[in-house]
Amino acid sequence: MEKPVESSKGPTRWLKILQQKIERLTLNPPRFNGRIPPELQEFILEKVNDDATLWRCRLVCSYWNQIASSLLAKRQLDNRTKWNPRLSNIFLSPCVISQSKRWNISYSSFKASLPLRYLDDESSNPLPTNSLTISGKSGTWNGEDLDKKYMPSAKGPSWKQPDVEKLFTKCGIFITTFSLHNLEITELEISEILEKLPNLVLLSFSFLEPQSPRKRHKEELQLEEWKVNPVKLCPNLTHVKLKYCTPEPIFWLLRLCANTLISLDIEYCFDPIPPLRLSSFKELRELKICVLYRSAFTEILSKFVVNDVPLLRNLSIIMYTEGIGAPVLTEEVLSFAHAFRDTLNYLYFDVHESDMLVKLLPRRSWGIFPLVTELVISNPGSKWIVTKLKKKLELNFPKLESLQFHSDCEWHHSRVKPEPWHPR
Amino acid sequence: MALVRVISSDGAAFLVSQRLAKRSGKLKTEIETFRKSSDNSEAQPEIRIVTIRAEILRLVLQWLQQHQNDPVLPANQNEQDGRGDAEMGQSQWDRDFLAPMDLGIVMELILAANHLEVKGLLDITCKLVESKITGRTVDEIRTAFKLKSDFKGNEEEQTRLENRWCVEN
Repeated sequence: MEKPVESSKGPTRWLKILQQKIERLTLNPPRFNGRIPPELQEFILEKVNDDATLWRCRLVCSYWNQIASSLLAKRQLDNRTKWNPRLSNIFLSPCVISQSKRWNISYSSFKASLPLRYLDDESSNPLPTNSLTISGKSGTWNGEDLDKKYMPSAKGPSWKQPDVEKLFTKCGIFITTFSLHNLEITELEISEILEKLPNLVLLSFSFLEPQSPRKRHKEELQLEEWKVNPVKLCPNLTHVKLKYCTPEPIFWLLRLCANTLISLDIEYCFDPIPPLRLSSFKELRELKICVLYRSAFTEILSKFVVNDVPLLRNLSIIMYTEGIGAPVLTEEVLSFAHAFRDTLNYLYFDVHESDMLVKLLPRRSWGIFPLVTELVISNPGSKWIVTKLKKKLELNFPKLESLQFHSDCEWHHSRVKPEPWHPR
Repeated sequence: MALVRVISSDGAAFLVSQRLAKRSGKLKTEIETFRKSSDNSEAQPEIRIVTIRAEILRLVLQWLQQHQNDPVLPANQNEQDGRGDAEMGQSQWDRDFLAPMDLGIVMELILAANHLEVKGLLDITCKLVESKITGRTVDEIRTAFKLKSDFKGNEEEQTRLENRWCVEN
């Protein structure tokens, strides 16, 4: 049989063309084009543990920038609100630093750190991690030159003095962590800022100084008129860190937000202690108290009304003892902690009294801590003390799962000693 | 053995056991929906996956085949012990499986694993991509992912300055 000759113009050719068209029309998703859905991009970048890489990812393209920035902000908030029973360093985030000695509410003399250079750009939030610090004075901190470290070394043509009022108005809504450091500031001034930060979660005060009594009196009157509503002021504020502050701003702050706080961290070395009794800490889960003098600790004991802290789970008590007054006794710490025995899971104490502890434990009079599963004691001394302690502690802490001790070496590495500082 | 016919976007059909297919959350749901709507309990389900082409679907099914007897890890495993699921589940076989793939294929595999709800595969592929990001320069990342800078005006310069400031601190 003769084989059919394929004609270039015959029906076979049309069939082939038709077949090719059908193939092209078949639903065929495009291959990977470099863009994946945001939730997957976030899932991948979440696995990047190295923050420096994450910062670099912000430079890849605007899509990566958005996701990496959001992750960095989330990571920072998580890190800063994570329970840390030890002493922590003061955290200075992207900040505005005043050149003048006296902080002025008009913000006229501020210098801004790099992220705030482009504040006028309509499109961007100049706070990459939704975090802001206002620091009152230039100078040094932990041996570093703040101006050198936080100020732009080269002021380019686009440099301009930032309008800090505009910063709060425009970007206040983004801010989740806010710190005031090394300032003279009144409650009214703080209120005016906080009013613009509706999504604030963490607030930290460090080295805040009071103002003159005359000025203070005037402001108190204004505050009275203003009638601040704490819920409206910062409805999401749950974490407060207070370090080396004079009592006034703390009094004010705790009166405002105590009943919504989840975590309170007080590193305090001046009398009088804030009036904790005036506050009711209905939601408080974490409490860290670090004092310099025994008298301060005793005052805290007398001022903290246990009934007003019904949910406390984590408690940390630290005392600077080296060469400053009489140490706090372990017995006192445990008696204080025992008041929270019905809810307490985690107890950390660092009072340099472990030798005494060995002699005293077990003490029926201290009662039992029925729910404590983790206990950390600093500086217990020699190995035999540790062994002895472990055995004896079983009586007072029947559910103990984790018992840790810090050696002398760890002690010195883990803690930051307070720099000599006194309010003027 | 009950079978299910899974058809890729470009028309390739894969006949797999229902037990294997049910390791994918999406296929499991589709099979159950088919059973509810079908009068004939013996009928073989046919599932068309319009977003995954044959080459990728074959890889997903190959991975499922290899891991068909693995225990299903709880969703929050990594939160419990601090290790990622990928580190928990990645075997030598997984490493050999992923090794010859270029990044484009891995990314398609991620999209497919996400669409078909195959968590283990999603974890190891994302971990692989992470390893191609960590420690790389911006240009290296752009080249690897075939991305171009699309910043407007001085945005890139601003971000570069912010990065310098923030990373240094």
